Amino acid sequence: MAVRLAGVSRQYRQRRRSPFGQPLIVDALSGVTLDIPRGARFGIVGESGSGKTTLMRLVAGLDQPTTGTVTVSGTELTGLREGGLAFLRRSLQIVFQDPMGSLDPRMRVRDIIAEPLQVQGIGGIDAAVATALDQVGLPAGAGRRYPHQFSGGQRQRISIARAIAPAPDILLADEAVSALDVTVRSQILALLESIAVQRGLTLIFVSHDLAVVRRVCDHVAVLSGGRLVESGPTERVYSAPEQDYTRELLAAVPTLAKGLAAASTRQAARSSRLR
Amino acid sequence: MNQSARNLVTVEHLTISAGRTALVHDVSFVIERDERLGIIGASGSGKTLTSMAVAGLLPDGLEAAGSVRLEGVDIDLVSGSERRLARVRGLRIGTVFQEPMTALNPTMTIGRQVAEVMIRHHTRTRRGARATTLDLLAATGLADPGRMSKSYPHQLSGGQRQRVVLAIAIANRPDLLICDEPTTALDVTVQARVLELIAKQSQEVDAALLFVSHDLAVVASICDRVLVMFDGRVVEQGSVVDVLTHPRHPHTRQLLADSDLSGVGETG
Repeated sequence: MAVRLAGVSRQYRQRRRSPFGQPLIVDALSGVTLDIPRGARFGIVGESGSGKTTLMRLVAGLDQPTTGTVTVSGTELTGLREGGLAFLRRSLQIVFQDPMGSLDPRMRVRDIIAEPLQVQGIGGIDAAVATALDQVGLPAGAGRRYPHQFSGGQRQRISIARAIAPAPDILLADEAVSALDVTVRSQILALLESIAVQRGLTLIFVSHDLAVVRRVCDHVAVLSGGRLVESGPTERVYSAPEQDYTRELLAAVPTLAKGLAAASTRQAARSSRLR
Repeated sequence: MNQSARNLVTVEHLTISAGRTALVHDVSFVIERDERLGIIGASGSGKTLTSMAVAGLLPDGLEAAGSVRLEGVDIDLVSGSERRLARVRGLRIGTVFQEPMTALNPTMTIGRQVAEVMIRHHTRTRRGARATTLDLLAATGLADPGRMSKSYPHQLSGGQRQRVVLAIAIANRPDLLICDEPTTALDVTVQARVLELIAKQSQEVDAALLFVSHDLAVVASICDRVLVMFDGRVVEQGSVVDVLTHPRHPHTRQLLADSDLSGVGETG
């Protein structure tokens, strides 16, 4: 297993409203048990407040569970300090939603991609940068330029290049295509998929967008209100959801077929009214 | 009724440029009364600028040529003075944009913000506006309008904020409701409810709809007719059913192909 969560809960304490009141405890994640197999393209879907970001932070070792254990590549993260997490800082890389917010505007692209390699003490930086740029479909000359000189889709390619350059085992994509329009989105999805396959990576794809998850992932877990609603192979969950919440979520997704059916009905009603 | 009397909005040869760069080229279209028109296109296709021009909200520093006329208004929305445009916006044209937090004033209660648009346009007295505000909040599906009207925007969820923006947009029963990516920032189940609400409320107040989105499925579910924009031009227009089932322009075909993520939700 690439990642194993066993009975993971994360509680946050909210500030007291009055000096005499009890602090409010918020359960961001409650009793989640989940296995993410090595080499899987694993989707985590849920709406705002479902706990998907909390789960992602726990897997990335950016936060600790209140109870339960998180194990990544066979090492339990619970109780590890930054030194103990060093393996994770190389073997797990993240692609965030907003590339402009996650790329330093004052650094050249080459330096942005090289920085994690320098920090990790990985050699052969120039070759690794060139390979990463090539793999995300950017020209070698892109390394000399700055982030603002690229379009949104190209910047997301830079983020992906930075994430894959240290040769991670796990790539975590957090709403990585949510800020992109449909054409660029489909290109970036195809890129993430092909990189995951070529490099044999475990891809953990966190998104609110069910359609995008279905396109990329072979497994999916649905979260709601901090709980795991259901998980399984993507096609099974999407074609035969076991839980009402999953059905409700799927029914709410606008699709072209549903939209066109509604448009045809309205068109027929209009023309009969005009006649 | 003859054809021109049915036209609510007439856009003719609209060209918008920043310095020497033309961002929208020679765009012409009409919106009929009660019609729901969608504009689709990728980022940078000019769809938002076009809708901003129709709203009389073009940013400073852009030059616009051509004309945008709203039936019954004697100024051109492209060249009219800001003072005159301000009398049209909020009264005859309501707007709902993507990010509700930037559309709302963080220092004012919800109730005051909804009432303000009626008081400013003299469609209600102060007291009347307060009463109507509660009705509007209820009509947009917000529970406990009394408490809601005393809340501030930061105390609301994204879906609740967008309902408030819609309440403001329809407060004066506008002839045209402009929605630009109104549900893009919302969760899917919230999106479905807000879309339903936009369709229902625009019908309730007899407003035509100009609906801008990159999401073809959303546009199909809400609009009658659609314009496809690419690189600042309208490359195709027609009924939603025709354009999206028999696309003629290669760019429309591309948009359809990119939107097709193997039909999620159709079997589920």
